[in-house]
Amino acid sequence: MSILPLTIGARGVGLTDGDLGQIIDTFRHTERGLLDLRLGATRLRLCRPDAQAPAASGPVTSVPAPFVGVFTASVRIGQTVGAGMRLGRVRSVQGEVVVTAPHDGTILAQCVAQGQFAGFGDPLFEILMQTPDRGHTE
Amino acid sequence: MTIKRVFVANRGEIAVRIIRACRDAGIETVVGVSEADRETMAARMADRAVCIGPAPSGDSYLNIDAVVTAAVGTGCDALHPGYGFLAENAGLAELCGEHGITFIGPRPETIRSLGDKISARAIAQQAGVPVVPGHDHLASYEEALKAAEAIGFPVLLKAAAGGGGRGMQVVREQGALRRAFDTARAEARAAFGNDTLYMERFIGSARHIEVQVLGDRHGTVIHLGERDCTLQRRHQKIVEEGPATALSDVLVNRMRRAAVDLARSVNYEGAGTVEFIFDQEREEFHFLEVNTRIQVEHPVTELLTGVDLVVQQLRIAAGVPLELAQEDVRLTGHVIECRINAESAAEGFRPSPGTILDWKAPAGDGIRVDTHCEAGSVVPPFYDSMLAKLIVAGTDRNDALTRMRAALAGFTLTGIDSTLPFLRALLDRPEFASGAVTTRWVEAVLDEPEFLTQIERAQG
Repeated sequence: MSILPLTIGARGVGLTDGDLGQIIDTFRHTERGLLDLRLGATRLRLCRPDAQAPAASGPVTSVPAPFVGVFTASVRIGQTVGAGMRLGRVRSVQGEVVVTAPHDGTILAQCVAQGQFAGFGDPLFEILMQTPDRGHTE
Repeated sequence: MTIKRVFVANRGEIAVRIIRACRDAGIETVVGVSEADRETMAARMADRAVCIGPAPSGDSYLNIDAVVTAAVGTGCDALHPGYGFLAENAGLAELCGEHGITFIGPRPETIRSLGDKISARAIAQQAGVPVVPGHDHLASYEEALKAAEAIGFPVLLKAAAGGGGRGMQVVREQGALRRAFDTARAEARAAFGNDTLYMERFIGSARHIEVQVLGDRHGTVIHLGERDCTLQRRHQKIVEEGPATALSDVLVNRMRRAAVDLARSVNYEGAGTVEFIFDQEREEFHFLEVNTRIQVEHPVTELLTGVDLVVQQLRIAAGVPLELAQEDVRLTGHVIECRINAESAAEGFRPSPGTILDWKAPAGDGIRVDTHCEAGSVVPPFYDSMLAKLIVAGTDRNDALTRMRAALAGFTLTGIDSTLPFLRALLDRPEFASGAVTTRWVEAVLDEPEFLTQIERAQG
């Protein structure tokens, strides 16, 4: 499994190589598609194509956040989804907006971690578009 | 209580201004931007920019839910609303409070009571501040005559139920009152289904003068002098200056005291402006309204007093007592501000969005430019068209005016139309120098065909 990309110098905020190794190991054993860690002005971002997800061989689209708020996904990486299907929700201080699939496809990545804040238009998922000749199942 | 991270709920030059003040005070900033404003100067300058919604302001800058959610979600502990948009929305102040965010402005109940014209008028009267003499609920001609005699001619008759000029009549003498009363009543009935009339004194030769006040949580209220904002077009201010030169010292002092009395009567907390209409014929001033926010023209006061009003707002919001006493406030020299908008004055102030090609703002001693623009900036069509405020200080009014004319002449702006040619022509008028102006003067000047030719010539 490749872990890509490790951006900017996380060492700058006092993380030792040991700390980094531990974070990466922990990340490896979770089912998360993305780890986005902010320590002061430093940001550590780990993401991977999920092992169960098919290799991206078709057009990939991203699902943007329809409102600002705290994101909760209700689908998993690798899951096949149909157009209009509920993928999750974004909760604002006064309400909630449902995130739906723009088209049929397979969830390739979840770009905002569970319970994290997303700005309007931030990508929440990447979906591999379903093509008629090549379907994907979980 | 200290403020560590401020959410800037605005755009344009005021967002830049707030971010700068926070940065100087060691406070982090997060600016909420619409989709159209992702690449703006404010977005670049803030520690973080977060998109709050699509370009139309109703879906972004005016969406209270989106604004407060973004402030909470980005870990801000305070919110600065700037001016315009939600700045005087008590609902925003309330929602901030419910989510542990300090609203940088007065308490919600203050915003609400001063935002309502009728209750604001009552508050002013209660505080002993003169209001425009008027009479409500005129049901008969006899009542109207009695009211007019008490108020003094000329009077303005209008529908109690509505606005917008319908059913509005200026009555200059008693002989014309009956007919005007009947007409105004019929129009009010037709337009609003209610023929109750309201009468107030008609002020033919008016100046707009406003007093800047600051109040803290501990009951201290001071004023920072006044600004004369008489030059307006369709109630939009064009040129502001200070201190006021059209009033006697006695009247200026009385006006300043009235503003403080009013603010103190509501335990005003934050920066605010008490606006007055000054009747130049009778030499009387009357209360107009209170703006419970930082104003566009606040730099006039800042250059006159040396006080940073946005920093004061931050300190007051944090609960810090005002360090400034009334006797510490000194107005030095004279300051003029011009608002430069992306509009073509020669074509009825048609908005002119687009991309700025050349941008060279004047600089030097006594010159301040508050802006979010530079060469290459995109002016989107969705928002207020203000590009910059040019503020110039001089030793006295003549000196400030001379410097302002030079500064306007030295301002290069191409790619879009701006009101620079209009401002150059307007400030060349002898009436501006002599002070023979009223709140209707700019519109009268714009009716002169020669003036439009002059603007076109100034355009080069």
